[in-house]
Amino acid sequence: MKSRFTLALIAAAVAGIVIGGCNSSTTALTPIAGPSSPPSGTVYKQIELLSRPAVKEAFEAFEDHNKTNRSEPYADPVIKKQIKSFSLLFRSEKWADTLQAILYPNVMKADLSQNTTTAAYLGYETGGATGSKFGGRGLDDDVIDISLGAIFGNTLSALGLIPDDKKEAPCLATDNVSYDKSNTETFPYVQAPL
Amino acid sequence: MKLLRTGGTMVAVFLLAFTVSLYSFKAARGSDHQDSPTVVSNPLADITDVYAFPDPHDASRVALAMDVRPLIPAGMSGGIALDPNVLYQFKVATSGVASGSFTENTVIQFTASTTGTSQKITLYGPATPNEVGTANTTVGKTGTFSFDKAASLGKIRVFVGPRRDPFYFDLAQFFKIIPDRDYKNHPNPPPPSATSFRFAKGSQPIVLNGVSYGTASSNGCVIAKPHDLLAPYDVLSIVIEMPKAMLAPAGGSPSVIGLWATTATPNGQAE
Repeated sequence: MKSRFTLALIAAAVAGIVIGGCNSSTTALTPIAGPSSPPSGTVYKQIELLSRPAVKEAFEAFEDHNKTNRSEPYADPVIKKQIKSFSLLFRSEKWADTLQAILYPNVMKADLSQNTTTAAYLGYETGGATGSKFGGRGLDDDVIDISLGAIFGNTLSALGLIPDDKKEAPCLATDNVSYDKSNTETFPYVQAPL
Repeated sequence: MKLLRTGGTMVAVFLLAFTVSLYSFKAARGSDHQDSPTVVSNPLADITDVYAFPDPHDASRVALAMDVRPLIPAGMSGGIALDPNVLYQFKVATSGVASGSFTENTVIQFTASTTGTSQKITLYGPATPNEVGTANTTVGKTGTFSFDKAASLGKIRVFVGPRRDPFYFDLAQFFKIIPDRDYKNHPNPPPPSATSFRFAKGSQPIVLNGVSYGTASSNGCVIAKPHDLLAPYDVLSIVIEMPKAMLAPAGGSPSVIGLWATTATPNGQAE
């Protein structure tokens, strides 16, 4: 989000492309780093963190992303509270507590003991309800609809985790975008560039 | 079903309340934002997505992937490669995840030798990290390979290069719903201008986990063509595949792992 990705960064890049046009975009793609890598023994300091898609981007205020980006996911100073406070804007306290319990610590969980060739986002956390107990995240998983369904839809009650709070927002529970890309069955699996 | 909703007025009231509450939430946090996040200054350090999935032909192997450098327009990925000033890492907790008590005990790291697509990529690990936390040094070197060419290093397969962005989302509409998340709206994001994702037809039924919630029209949803904003863009993908046993806890069998990805630089800034 940027889910996944860093939504704000995509927006920034989009803005640059739109405003600058093709030539400006070409210029913007030029690497800006130094000519060679630092020497062995260099201490690198974290500037970006991503795990589950759409958690930081959906729940956390933009101004706090940099705090999460510089934290370990099990010691994040802000996102745990913001998962609940954002959820409470439109769901019951029990719903917000459940989302918080599922999503924090914010790491992608995968059960490597599963003898399967199929991943499914949040599959470990939901006992396989999203398609596979392996969990993790497949390249074509609809992580947005899975996330929106948990935040705005009835996913948590449908799974039997908590009673329905009857506060669903159907217009926000799906983005209506389907996967239409062509990943491959061979390594590295991700579709070749356009 | 019990959750069936067809009352357009009630829905409109709810959505209005949602909009107001969302804006109030943001306003309560203040609008005096700082400059853009560090990674805006260097998209080569900007992780867009993380994936973890089994080899589709061999359940004993697992692939990890992270994408960086968002929004490379179609046909323009040539010349774009990793930043040699950045340490790219997968961090893995191979034990304690089920109980929620864990730290990273395995890391997989990548660095690039130089700028440009002739760069060589060095893989470090998987290995026990030298440090737990957000300041890290590289672990033992596993091997080196060329950018944009899949390679095998023992039982490990690796690839770093341009790929089509697998992510898909009506991101433009999301930004209308939560303007705070749109970088270009800062430091003073406006109130939401939408309370709905886009639905192609008013007659489109909304069914969530087998429960009918009426149609797009009956809920007052926005009727317009949805759009995957990421469809015409590429990213740089970092993909590694290995036997699951390489991510097993010491002396144990592969179990539940917790995975995250990071980028880091020597000075903790973009460059």
